[in-house]
Amino acid sequence: MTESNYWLGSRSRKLSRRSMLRGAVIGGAGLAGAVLVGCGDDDEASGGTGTDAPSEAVAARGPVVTTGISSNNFFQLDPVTGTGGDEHQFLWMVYDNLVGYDETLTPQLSRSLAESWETPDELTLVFKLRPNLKFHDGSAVTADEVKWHIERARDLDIAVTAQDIQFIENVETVDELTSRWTLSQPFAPLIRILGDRAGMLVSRKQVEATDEFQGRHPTGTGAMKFVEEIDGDRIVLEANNEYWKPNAPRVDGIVMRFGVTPDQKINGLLAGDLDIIDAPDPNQLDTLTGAGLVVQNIPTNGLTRTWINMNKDPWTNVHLRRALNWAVDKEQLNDLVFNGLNTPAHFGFLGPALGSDHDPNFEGYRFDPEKVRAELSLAGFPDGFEYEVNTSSNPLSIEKDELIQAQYAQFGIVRNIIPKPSPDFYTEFWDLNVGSHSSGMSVRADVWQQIAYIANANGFSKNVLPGPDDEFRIRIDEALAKSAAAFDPEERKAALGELNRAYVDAAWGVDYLYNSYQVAHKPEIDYVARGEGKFHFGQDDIGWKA
Amino acid sequence: MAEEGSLRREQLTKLPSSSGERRFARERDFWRRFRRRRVGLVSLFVLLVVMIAAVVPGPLTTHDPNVVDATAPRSGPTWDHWLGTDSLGRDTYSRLVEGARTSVLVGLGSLLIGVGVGLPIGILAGWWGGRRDEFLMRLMDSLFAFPSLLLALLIITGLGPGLQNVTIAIGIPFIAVFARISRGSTLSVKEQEYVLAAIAIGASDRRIAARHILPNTLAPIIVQASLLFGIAIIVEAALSFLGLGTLPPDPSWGIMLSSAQRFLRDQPLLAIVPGTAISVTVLSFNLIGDVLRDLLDPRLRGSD
Amino acid sequence: MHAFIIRRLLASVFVLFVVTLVTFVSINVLPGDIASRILGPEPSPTQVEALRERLQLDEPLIERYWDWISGAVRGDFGTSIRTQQPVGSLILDRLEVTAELGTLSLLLGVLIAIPTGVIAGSRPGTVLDYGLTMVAVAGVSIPNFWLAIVMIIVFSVNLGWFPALGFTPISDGLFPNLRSLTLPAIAIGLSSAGSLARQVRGAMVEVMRQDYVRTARAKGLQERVVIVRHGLRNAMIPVVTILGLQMTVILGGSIIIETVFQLPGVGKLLIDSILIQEIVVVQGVTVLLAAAILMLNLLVDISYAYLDPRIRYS
Repeated sequence: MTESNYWLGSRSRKLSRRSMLRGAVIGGAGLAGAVLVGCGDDDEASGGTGTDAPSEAVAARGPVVTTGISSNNFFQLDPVTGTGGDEHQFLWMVYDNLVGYDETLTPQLSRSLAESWETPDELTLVFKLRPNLKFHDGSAVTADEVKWHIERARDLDIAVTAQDIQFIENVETVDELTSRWTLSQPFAPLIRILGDRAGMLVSRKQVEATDEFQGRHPTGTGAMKFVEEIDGDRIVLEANNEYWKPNAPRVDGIVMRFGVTPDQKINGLLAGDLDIIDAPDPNQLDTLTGAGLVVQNIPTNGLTRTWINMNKDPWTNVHLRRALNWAVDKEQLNDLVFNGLNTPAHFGFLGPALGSDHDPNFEGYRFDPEKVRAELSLAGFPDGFEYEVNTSSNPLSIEKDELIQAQYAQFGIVRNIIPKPSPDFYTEFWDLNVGSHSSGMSVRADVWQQIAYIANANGFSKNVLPGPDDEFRIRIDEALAKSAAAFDPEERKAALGELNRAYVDAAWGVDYLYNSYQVAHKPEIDYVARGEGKFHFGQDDIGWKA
Repeated sequence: MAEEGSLRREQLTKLPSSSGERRFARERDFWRRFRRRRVGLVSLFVLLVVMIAAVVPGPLTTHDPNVVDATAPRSGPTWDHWLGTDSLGRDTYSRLVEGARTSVLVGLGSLLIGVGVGLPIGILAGWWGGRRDEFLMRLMDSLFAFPSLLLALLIITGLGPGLQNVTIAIGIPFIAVFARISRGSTLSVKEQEYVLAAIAIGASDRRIAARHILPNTLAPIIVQASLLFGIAIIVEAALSFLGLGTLPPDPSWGIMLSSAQRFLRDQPLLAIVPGTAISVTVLSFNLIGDVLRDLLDPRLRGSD
Repeated sequence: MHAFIIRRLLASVFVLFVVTLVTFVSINVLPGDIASRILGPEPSPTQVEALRERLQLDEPLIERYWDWISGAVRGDFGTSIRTQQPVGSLILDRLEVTAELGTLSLLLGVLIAIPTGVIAGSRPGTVLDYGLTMVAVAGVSIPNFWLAIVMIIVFSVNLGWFPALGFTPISDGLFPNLRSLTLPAIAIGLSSAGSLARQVRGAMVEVMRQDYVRTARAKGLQERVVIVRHGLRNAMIPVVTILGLQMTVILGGSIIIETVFQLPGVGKLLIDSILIQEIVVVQGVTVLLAAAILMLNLLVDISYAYLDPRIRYS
């Protein structure tokens, strides 16, 4: 295998294994330094609130942080069985990942339960765990626990993680802290995927004792411990005083309020009921900054798009799908509805926020009336056609779709919008009752996962994608496999580019915008918004300033 | 929705027990006395404007209500846009005028369902009496046992959003209201001597219903309808607020209100316009209803 | 009277049965089920299948309804799929908010409505009457959720007097508790006050026309005494019964107002459960609400008989 390896390196730099190890050492030193500096910081910050700090390892902390999220509840609190997109924000607090990544989605040893990992060959991974790690229930984190966890995440019938780690064939305990994995085929995205649900270590003791598939007693190693969940109201977490990472956590606890609409978030923050919010209405940011609040804006690769069931007429016709893509004036959409904060999706699924995986010269779809008419004629609908699309019934979403509707109207394309409350608008699509739905695609740890979800008919989305004989299907599957096995960054970039070309040629849905992600908070809050477009309050990620 | 308890009370307490002759005498001077009620006249004027906007919006609008103007999103009132524009640069005034149609259609449609189904049920139940009456009325009770927003919510979840479904969802709870009214009138008329006489001389049921029962039910139904019309508009707005209302891009006051909600801090006009339209229209229906009740119900006469 | 009550109770059972049927059917005509709903926007088909199997959603409809109704008769309303809690205790947990909000709203409604209605009704046809009636009708005509939003902007965001969202239980202190419920209670209470005031006025107008009031006036009693001793007291008979029915209005109002203020009450539980098609919970809440409303109706009819000796039930 090559020395420069996507598994080991960060996205932007090639690292040899040796330099990776050096990085770990430097990382360690940096960590130690951070402890010293951090202590100084937090002593200032905490003032008189340090009374409940039980040991010298835990620095003084700030008070509980209250926030709101849009979900009405978490169905599952177990990383392996849950799927809800909002659940991550809870999971990252209670569970640590075998491999954690930073705010740019780059794996970092300092954020990982693994002290190091090695790849003797493309089919083998060897993890060494940090010593003395403990779950919240006091049980130790050992290589046996890792083996049990990976097998559960791969084999449990309702495990959402099964697809992600299906290529892990065998997990072997070498010694108490060393776990050796064998893969059935090369799979480059695996390391980053371990920063997602599959890598979140769950207490075996707790799962076996309660035997519940919803994980109502979530027990991990994370910086926050689960206290209680009040259905429909809030979930409450408290600081883990025995946390492995020095100087973390930096707050006494987190309260997440359920079911908070974008408008309620803004009101709650303005009225002081909430300390930090995310995804507010992009048109309201001036109100927030005007009130002395801090707003952070992070471009992401999350997509605003319309999903299309390509097995359903008229969407079997690729020219029709292409016509829809050429017909959107993405700049106007961005400016009128999203306050210009997002980025027009002119580059397929590889947006500028991805850094080195993004190709600024890639030619995707841009607004072009000539091409719309040409494709409509090729499709046999020169005067347009009519179809129905589900959308979320929140006002911003409806506004977005009303504008697209108006843009399409000039080509005779009648786009009938059916607003439905969440989750109806998308479940009807997955249940094959409506041919398209207008929503989005969330950010994944590795962009490969994102496109695999949209385009991989082997598992996810299989019902809405063309069968194995389809020419685009074949091209996409080949490119997917190739990019999954690409360890060299250049090789990976080329393979992803090929995949992107096939995806765009096939018009696998309509991409409008690469989303940006906003976080707004009180100026006293110390937090860096992250590219995954969700709150990440694990480890030492959130605290209070002096 | 906020009104159904009191509506039901009205049925229970204020059913007219008047005879046909007294009603005839009342109708003769109805208009004379209605004209004396200034509140009624003002309300009537408001409702006429709303109705005209609903039937022929074209001449009243200044812009195509669905045309996007990217150059002027959320502008304040100007000579071109009297009430400003919304986020997509659509003319608020023209959308307000177009939105009247949705409100009137929902109101009329739901009343049509309520009266169309409820009236025959009530008359039949009252006329038959006995077990069939009991059964029908208990069925109506089950409609009353839901808070009406809840019933509308359940129906909409089943049917999906859209003007037609919203109308049905709002209209079904009304069935019970009108069934009760018409049953009450039927019961009171049934025992009147002239009806007994008509039965005795062998008049057909249909004739008795048309000549004697229907006219007697008319007054309370008109009163009730004007009150329920207002409720229909409010429930439509509430459903739109919950994201279960009529479909875009056709404007409805409820949709305008719910989409303007997020601009309340900075561009309150966007929300004040549809909010006022809803409130003033509902107010007018309520006031007219009150006036009609005062005029048609002898027990409250004297307050005019 | 006893026979009447028994007959009404039996009828209520029938009505409740129809209510459960209507609810069950309207939720089940929807395509899809809770399994796909709780798995988020980007589910895996295999996972949906597995979950569906675990939740035993593949049983036929009739069987599931039968399971539910036979349990409900024994007081077992099933287990929430979402929280794995019994539906009964789930509702009970939410009852505190709704009960307190309902009581406060009713109290507010009465405190506003009775003086307004009495003053307006004791001087029918005057400018004061018109003015107060107008205000009362306006109270009914403003959508309560709309009023709620405006109040949040003014009193929470701009003035900072009340929280913009959330409920503080009474165990965390009476003052914070009342603070968290003030705006919601006003939003519901005002519209309730509007319709109540109109009823009070109507009753007052009628009572003030009665002979005994004329006699009292003729005796030279002070107008205030006449209004309070003769008018108000007798007008209260129909008004007390109306209060019971106001509870229906208030329960209906709580469905939307709890959502606007993010209060974890029964109304919000209902809306959330409708949206994810959690049929057992929707059924449970609907039956509870319907039963409460039927009971109130019955109490109203009975209190009629007690308060007004002219009415007799057989």
